[in-house]
Amino acid sequence: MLKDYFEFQNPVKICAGYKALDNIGVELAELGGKRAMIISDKGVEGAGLLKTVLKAFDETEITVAAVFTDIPSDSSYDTVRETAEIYRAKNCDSLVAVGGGSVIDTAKGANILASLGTDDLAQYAGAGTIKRALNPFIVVPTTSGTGSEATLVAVIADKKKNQKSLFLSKYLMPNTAIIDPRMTLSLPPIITAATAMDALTHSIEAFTCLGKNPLSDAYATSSIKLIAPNILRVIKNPNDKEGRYNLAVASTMAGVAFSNSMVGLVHTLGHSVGAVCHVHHGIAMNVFLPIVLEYNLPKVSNYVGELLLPLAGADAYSSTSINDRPVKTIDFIRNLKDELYSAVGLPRTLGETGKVAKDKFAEIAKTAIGDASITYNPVEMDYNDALALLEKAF
Amino acid sequence: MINEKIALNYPDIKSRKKMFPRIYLSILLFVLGRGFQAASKSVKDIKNEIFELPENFSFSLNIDLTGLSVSFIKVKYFFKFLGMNKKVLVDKSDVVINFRNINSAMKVFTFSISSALAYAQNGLSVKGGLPETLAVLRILNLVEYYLLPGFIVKRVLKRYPSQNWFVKIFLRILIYVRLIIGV
Repeated sequence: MLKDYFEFQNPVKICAGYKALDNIGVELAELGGKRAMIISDKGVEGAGLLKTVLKAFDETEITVAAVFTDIPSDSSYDTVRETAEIYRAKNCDSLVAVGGGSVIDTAKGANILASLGTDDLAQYAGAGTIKRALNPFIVVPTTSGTGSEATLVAVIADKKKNQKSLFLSKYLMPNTAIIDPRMTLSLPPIITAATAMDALTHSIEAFTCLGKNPLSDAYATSSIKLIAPNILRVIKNPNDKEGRYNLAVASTMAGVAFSNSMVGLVHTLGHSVGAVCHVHHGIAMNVFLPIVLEYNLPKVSNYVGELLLPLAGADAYSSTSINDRPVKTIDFIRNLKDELYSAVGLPRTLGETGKVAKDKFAEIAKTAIGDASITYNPVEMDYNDALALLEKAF
Repeated sequence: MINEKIALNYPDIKSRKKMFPRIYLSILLFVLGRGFQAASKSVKDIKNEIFELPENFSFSLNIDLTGLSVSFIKVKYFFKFLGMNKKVLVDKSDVVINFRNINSAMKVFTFSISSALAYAQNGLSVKGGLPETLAVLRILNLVEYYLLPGFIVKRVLKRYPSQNWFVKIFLRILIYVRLIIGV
C-alpha cells in the first residue's frame, strides 16, 4: 500500500495588499453579514488599529453592532462565553477578529457558541466534533506569526481544569483573511522578530515533519523565501511597508502549510516552556528551532538540506555540497538568531529569557511528552531526551 | 413524473462489506486485546505509564462504520481487556483511538505504516485528554515492540527500544504465554 497519502484544505479567501481593509465591508456582505461584532484586545485598540478597521466600514452595508476588546493574552473558556453573550445580546450575525493568536482563537470559540446556540464549549473540544458551517467570520491579523487566520485550530484555556483545550475543525477556518500591512506597522521590533521566527518555525516544521506533503511544502518554502530576507530588513526599518507586507503574507502562508501538515518538536518544547515558565511563544521557537533540527537530522537530513535554498538563496545552495547542506541550513538559522539578538536582544537560549530555571526542567519535560505535536515529529522524544534538549537549550 | 423504465436501467450499487479485512482485523484486534492485557501485566515501563493514568481510566480502539472495536479499563496497575465490538464501551471510554475507515485500519494493522504516520495523514483521530491519549500511544508502541518481529517493529516505530536481548526474549515468552491462556 502507498504510504504517501495526504489531505490538503485551504478554503480561506485571502485578501492581501496595502489598504486591503477597504474591502472588508464588501467581503462581509458577500458572506451574508449585516451586523458584525468586532473582537480585539487593548493593545490593538491602544495602537489605534481599531480606528482603521472601523473606518473601513464607512459607506458599506454593515453595521458594527459591538466592539469587544477585553481579550487577554491567553484565551479562556470564560472569555469565549462572555464574547458569545455580547454577540447574542446585540443580535450580531458575523464576527471580525482583529488581533493576534489569542483574539483569533477567542473568536473561533465564540463563533462555535454563537452559531450552534450553546454555552458548552467543552463538548466541541477535539477533532471532528463540529458538524456544520458556522456564521460568517473574517480575520484581520495584527501580527505576522501565528498564521491562525488560515488554520483549522484553536487553543483555548480551560482555567477550571488548568489545561489547554485543542479544537480542530475545518469549520473553524475563517471565511476570509484580510492581510493589510498597515495593521503590523506599529509592532515593536522584538515582537516583530519573535513572531517572524514563529512563522519561520511553522514553515520549517511543516516541511520536515510527518504530515509534510507536496502542497504544504509549496506554501512552506514560499513562506520561508519571504521571511528570510525581510525579517532583519523590517527590524532595521519598522516602517518598511513592503517588508511588513512580505512578512504578513509569509505568516499566512506558513499558517496554511502547518494547518495541513501540523508542527513537531519545536512546538512541543515551546508549548511546554510557555505553559510552565510563561516564555513568549515566538521566543521559545527561536530558542529551540536549530536544536530540534539537529536532533531530527538522522531522519530528515535531506529535507533540512533542501531548506537551504529558500533560506539562503540559489547561490549559497548551489555552492554547497549536498552533504553539507543540512548543517549549513542550521548554521544559517543560528546566524540569524545571533543577528536578531544583536539587533533587538531576542533571547537565543532559555537562560537568556530570564524566565526558566533549571529546577523547572523536570516539569517542562513531563509537560512536553503530553503535548500533541510530538506525534508529528519524525524522531521519537521521551522524557530523558526532553531533559537533554532543555539542557542544550539553556 | 419518474420514468421507471429509465430508473430500472440504473440499479443502485450498495456499499458491500469487505470480508477479508473484517476477518483479519477481528483476529488482530483479539490478539491485540489479549496482548495489551498481557504486556501491561509483564513490562515495567508499561506499568509505570499505567500508574500515571487516572483510576478507572478506560480506552478503546475503534474502526468507524465497521462495528469493530476493542476496549480496556485500568485495574490497579494493568489494563483489563473488556472485550470486542461493544459500542457501549467505546462510547463510555475516556480515550478513543478511532480509525476513519477500514482501509486506514488495514494500513496500520498490516504494519504498512506507523500509527504516527496514520495520525499525520488523518487516517485516525483521537477523542479524549491529550496527555492520556499520548500515554496510550506510547503503551501501544511498547506492546507492538513485544508482540511483533524486530524487522516490523523497526518499520513502524520511530525508535527501536534498546534492551538486553535475554530480558526481551523472556518478556516476549511471558507475554505470549499470558496472551494464549488469556490472563
